[in-house]
Amino acid sequence: MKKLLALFATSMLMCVTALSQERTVTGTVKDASGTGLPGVNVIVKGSSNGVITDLDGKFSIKVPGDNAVLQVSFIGYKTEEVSVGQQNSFAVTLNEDVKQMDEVVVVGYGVQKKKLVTGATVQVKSEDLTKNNVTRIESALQGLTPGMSIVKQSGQPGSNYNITIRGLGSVNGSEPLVLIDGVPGSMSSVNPSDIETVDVLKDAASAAIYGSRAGNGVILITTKKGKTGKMQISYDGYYGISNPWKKVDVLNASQYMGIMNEQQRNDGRTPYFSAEDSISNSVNTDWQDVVTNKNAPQQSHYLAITGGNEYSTFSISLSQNKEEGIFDFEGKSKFERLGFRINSDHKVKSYLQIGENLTYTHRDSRALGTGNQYNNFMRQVLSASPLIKPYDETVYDGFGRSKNNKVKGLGVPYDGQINPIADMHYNYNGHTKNDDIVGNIYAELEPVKGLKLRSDFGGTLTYSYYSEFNDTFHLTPYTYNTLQNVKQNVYRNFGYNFDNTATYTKDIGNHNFLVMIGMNNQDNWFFNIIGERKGYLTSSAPILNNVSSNLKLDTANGNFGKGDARISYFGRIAYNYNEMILFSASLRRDASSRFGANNRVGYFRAFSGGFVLTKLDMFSTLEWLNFLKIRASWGENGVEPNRPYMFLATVNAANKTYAFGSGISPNIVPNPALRWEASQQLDIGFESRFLNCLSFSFDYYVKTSKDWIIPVTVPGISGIAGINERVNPYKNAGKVTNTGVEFDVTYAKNFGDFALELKGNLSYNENKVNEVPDSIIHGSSSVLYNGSEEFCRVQEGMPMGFFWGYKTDGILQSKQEADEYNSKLKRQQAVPGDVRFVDTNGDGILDQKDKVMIGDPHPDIIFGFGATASYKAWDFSMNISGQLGNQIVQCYRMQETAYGNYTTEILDRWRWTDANANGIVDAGESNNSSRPRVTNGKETNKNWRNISDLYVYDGDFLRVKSINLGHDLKKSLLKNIPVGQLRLYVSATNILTITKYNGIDPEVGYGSYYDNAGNLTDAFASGIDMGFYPSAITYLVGVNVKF
Amino acid sequence: MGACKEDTLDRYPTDASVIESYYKTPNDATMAVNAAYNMLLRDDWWSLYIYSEILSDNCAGGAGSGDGGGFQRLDRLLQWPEADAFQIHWRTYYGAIYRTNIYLESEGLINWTGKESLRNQYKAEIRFLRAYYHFYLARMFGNIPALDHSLLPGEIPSRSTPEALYGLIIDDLKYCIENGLSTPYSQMTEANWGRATKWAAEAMLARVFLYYTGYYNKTEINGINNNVVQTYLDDVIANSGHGLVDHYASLWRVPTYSELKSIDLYAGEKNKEVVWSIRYNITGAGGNLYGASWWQRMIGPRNTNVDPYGNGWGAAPVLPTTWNMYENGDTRKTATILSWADEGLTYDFTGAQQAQYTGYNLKKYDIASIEKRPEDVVMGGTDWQTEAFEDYIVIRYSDVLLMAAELHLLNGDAATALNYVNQVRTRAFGNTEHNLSSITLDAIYNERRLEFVGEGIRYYDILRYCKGDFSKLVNYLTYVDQNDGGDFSKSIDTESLDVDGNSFAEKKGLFQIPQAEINLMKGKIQQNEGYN
Repeated sequence: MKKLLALFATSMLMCVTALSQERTVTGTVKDASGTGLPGVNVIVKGSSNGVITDLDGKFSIKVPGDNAVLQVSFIGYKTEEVSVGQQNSFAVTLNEDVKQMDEVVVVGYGVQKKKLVTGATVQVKSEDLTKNNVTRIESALQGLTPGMSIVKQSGQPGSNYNITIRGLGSVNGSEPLVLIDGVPGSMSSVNPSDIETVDVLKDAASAAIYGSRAGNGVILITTKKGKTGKMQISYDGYYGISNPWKKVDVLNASQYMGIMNEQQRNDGRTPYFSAEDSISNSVNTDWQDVVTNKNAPQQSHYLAITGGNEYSTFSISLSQNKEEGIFDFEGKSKFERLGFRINSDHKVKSYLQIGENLTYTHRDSRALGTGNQYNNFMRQVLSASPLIKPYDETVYDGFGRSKNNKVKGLGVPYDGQINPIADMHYNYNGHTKNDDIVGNIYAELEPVKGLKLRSDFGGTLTYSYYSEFNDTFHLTPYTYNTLQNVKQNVYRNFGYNFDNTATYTKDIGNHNFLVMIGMNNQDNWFFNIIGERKGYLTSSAPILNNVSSNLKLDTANGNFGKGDARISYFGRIAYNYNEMILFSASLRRDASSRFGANNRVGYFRAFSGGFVLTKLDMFSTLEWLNFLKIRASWGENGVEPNRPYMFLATVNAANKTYAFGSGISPNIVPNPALRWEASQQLDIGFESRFLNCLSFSFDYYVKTSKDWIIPVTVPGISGIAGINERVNPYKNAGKVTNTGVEFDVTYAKNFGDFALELKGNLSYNENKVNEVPDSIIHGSSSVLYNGSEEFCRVQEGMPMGFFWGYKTDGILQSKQEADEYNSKLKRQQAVPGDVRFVDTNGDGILDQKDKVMIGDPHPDIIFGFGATASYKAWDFSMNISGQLGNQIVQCYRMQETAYGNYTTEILDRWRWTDANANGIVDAGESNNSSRPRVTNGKETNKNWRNISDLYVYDGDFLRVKSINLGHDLKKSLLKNIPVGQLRLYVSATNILTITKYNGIDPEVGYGSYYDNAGNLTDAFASGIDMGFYPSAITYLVGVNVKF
Repeated sequence: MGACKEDTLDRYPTDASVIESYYKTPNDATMAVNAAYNMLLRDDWWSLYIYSEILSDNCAGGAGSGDGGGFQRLDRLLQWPEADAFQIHWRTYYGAIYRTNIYLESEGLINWTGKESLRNQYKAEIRFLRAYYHFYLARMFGNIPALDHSLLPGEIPSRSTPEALYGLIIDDLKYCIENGLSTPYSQMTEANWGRATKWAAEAMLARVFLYYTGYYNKTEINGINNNVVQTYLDDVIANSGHGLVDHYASLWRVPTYSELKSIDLYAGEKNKEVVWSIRYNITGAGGNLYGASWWQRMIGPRNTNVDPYGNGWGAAPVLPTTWNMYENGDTRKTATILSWADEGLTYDFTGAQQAQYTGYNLKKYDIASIEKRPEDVVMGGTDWQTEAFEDYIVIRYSDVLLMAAELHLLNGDAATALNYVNQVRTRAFGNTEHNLSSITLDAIYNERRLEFVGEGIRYYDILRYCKGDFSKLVNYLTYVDQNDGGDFSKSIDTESLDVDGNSFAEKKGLFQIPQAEINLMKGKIQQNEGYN
């Protein structure tokens, strides 16, 4: 058919040639939605004769004759060619150019055709980012970016994400460098709807142009720019409701009483509850139900206007997001964001362009504790006794207290069991408001063809206000507040970023050259005031002025000054021969104030090359192969210390007060030789495209990260190695290798009106520590519960932060088994029902030396899958993400206290088969239980006090992150309404999770934590489930309208 | 492209000073001295004052039945489950010594014009503190390296000889005696309360001297002998203005509540009997701010609040023998010890997970109950774990009297010795009927035990009584529990309060040096005997 048509067309052309004569033709260029496109180039092919369409997309052009061909082209659209023939009026429809290989991607200080890129970068576009209908970019990226692990720190609205690109490279964490329109910033301050593209520079060579801060990878965010053409107004809005995706099965009241009694009997004590208690008890509180905020609402509104002419374009937007947490009490878990953005570009002269990007974001959040064992409401909820009434009018404050308590004094319960909602009522009173302004203004001059001079000045202003009011309360003898207090904190930070680049491109025949040199300067100022006042307050307004009595106990701290600063120079050369042989090299010289004067300069090199095989004759003739490029890159990057002045010898006043007044003494021992953590990476990969519909790419990388900045363990006798303060000097040491592969496959094809796109990606990473000073970096103890052993560490030959503990080999089911076990191991006094720990080194003593790796928190495989389909007015999309091969350590219970509730797993505990009332029967033979007997936690065998693989669970999961179904009424029922698009859609988030993990959520982003002094501790730790604020299932309805 | 000068990258913190430019003015010196005093507050949960009660024949180990038995093991001078359990002391006190040495090395940079007397006073106080910090470690670990300078990077000293170690301590204290504040008690200002005075130094020197000559069986060090020390103590008695308060119980808050029934009778933290104290305060509440005394929270009855006794973690339950040793009429008995049965109170020690329940708890330094907490509230307490703030009295005037009695007796003056001991007894009984008529060394030792239960003194008295013959420790520290069979912790091998004194004899009463520190010092210091 095609051939026939071609023949027909050719013969037509031949016919008309004879009749050719110059005339004027007119036409209209529209986009797929039928909107006129202004500024479109229309030229007569093979001539210099061209015009630009007007605001309505109309043009008028002289053509030499009937055999002329009009070439209609516009950036971002596929170029169309129209044979003139005898027609005088043309209606041309331009389709957006979505062909991957012609894409332009953002690279450091510039853009580049994707087909010429020689590093491993991934780009995610606007339409993919908004499909998940989420308020955070990180969540939108989940499942779309091979090689990137994105895990939320908590399911609480507004919470942050942990991003690890190509494996954890430092014991100090993995935070990548984020640049928003070139300005260093935070992803939390950008609305996903405002984003045009997110480009992730994964390999070191791509990132090396950012040198000293690029060791953990670089994320480049480009916000939406205006387009030439008629002004377009668009509105996107949705409303949704969220609910927990699952509940953890914990013991109900009767199971709880049974287990508590059995615990007592096993310890040879009187049971807590009598049979009458069990019958008369009518309390059976399901705490997860009590704190669930059923159908938690969320909504989002996004209004954008874009437009422009050949001289100026603009894009402005206004947005609002509101989200309530699925677990909540008195509105303490919610997030609201309000923002606007103004981007504009102006062609002042043919050789001068200027423009700006400006984003303002206001965030307002209240959060329940999701941190360590002492600051985690979910853990309270999961371990609270079902015998506590949520509300009890007989208690002075209306909150129920533990029923089996002996009430003493102020009605304060005795056993330390806390009513979780009373805790939520009295605590978590913080309220944070953030205002961020991120913006930049640039000028680009092209004095001669091919030379572009660009100067870009950007700034970030962050202002944050925190307030808190705490009332007095008595929950238990250990949980109380005897004095009202208020806190008011203010933080302000301003940083600027100044980039100047010169780029020269020159083509000599098929030899294409690019040379770029540039400099960057960053500096910032900070200011903070932290005030706290205790006393008797006149009202509950959280302001410091509110203290009524003479009693005012104040804490006030404040600081201001210059922060860190950097001065950098960089350059890149790129060469390609006929877009076939590709080569690029870059060098960056960085100087940072975070290092001493003698050691503050670092050089970061990168080289990359590629070969487009399909440019060779032998491949170009293959019809099934559209594109094939192989590429390799090598580069090096740095990671800065996460705190300034670690190289400097200083004295300070923190915690040095005595009765006579404040004190000052040395607080850090200097190491002027401190330098960047270094990261080097080799990447080999290929990109290919087959049959015009199937793309496949592959990467293999080896990333070596070394010279972590870590505290030196010095002998205590030096006097500078205080246990509770950081006076230790820092040094560079350690090395870890991440090796991995990434696959990315896309299938896209149109079948008439039906369009289908399937995308899948999979990445495998292996993390192995090669060197550690003193062979181990220890994790903290008392993480899982008060007094718990260290279980997570960094050690040679192991993955970072691997789980370390005893192996177990089942439960000692009978007296005989217990006796055998005791006879083999010195000092063991196990009884039936105890855990059989494995003496891995076989020395006959169970001790620390028997501890081995019992789990790895890093997934072996991260994968994502996406499907998009459209048919006429209908569209559908689905996004799946997941991971395989990681383990999670779960501990919901304070093991050292007797009364905490258990998950129903405990029902499979070992127990006496025919225990009488006292349980003192020696007849507990095998019942094949998988959990040890229940005790008060003080049994000699330390069944739970020994950290063992009993705490470890597989964390594999597959999650359907989103499903969308949309219908554009403009294309079906309401074709005549004066709008470009009227799409209604329904969407579901996290609708299905497939996992064997029995905890509250397999996507657990807890590990490192902030200690009392506010220092990030155990930054290498992950995969620890202490009671986690889980993901929600969200159902949404939304509308997209374009005018 | 503008070139940037890279010296703009020289950045310094605003909330700290760079060390080279810091020590300039007398005010800087004041701050540096305060920081050196601040290290007194760092005992955290673990203080030698509790340890020595547990190690001695006064108290058992106790604490939580699920705690891993550390305190019970300590009671027997066994290794703690964690080999490096005492690293906190090693690091903290060498950190404290570092602060004193840094001060002494830097104070010459300060312009002292017009403030020369302040300079002498500060130097005296700093040297007192250096002595105190060394003595703390020396009692725990034996003859540790004495440091009279801050170590150079990589410098690792060897153990000092006892003569060198105690020589430094004695010289430092002598310096404080000669240069320290000699203001009498009546003229002592609020602002200076807690400073190391001449009186504090004289009393501390006596304590060090008695310990050194007792433990190492010596008679003299750096020219200091019994006669010199006797003069120092007599100087305190005659000239310091310090003296005994009327009611023994009024020295501490909780005993004041339980015995005198009114906090109005509390003698206060700045009473005349306090020769030198550690000035805790409430600012440590809620975090590592180092103001509160966490260790005091260890000794209250575990998880139990019975007015006026506040809840604690149940460490150092008092042995029945200690309760029974007091004569009838001795007010020190009930001021020191809470007997649950005798006060008609019940204690659900299993529910509270108390290990080694004996029926008795210490009252001194217990923290007041919730009902008595309003007073604490005034201090701003919000976190029960960290809000203990009662000053710890390091040396009381009664100790000065009893040490003076001991030296007078040794120097042949029994009459003065008897007088001093009877001053202590008269106050203890509230009358002179129980006064002694004659005096022996053993009678003084016995009086010391009665007087100081719960104050961290007894164990180091026992060690010095041995005169270098540590086999004597077996007699002092071997005891069999009379009430065996009670519900004692099963968290360590033993279920009773029985303690075998041989464990002490073979270790000469010393703690295990943290193995991690020995490793870091590349084996330049050997482990104490009995721990290999």
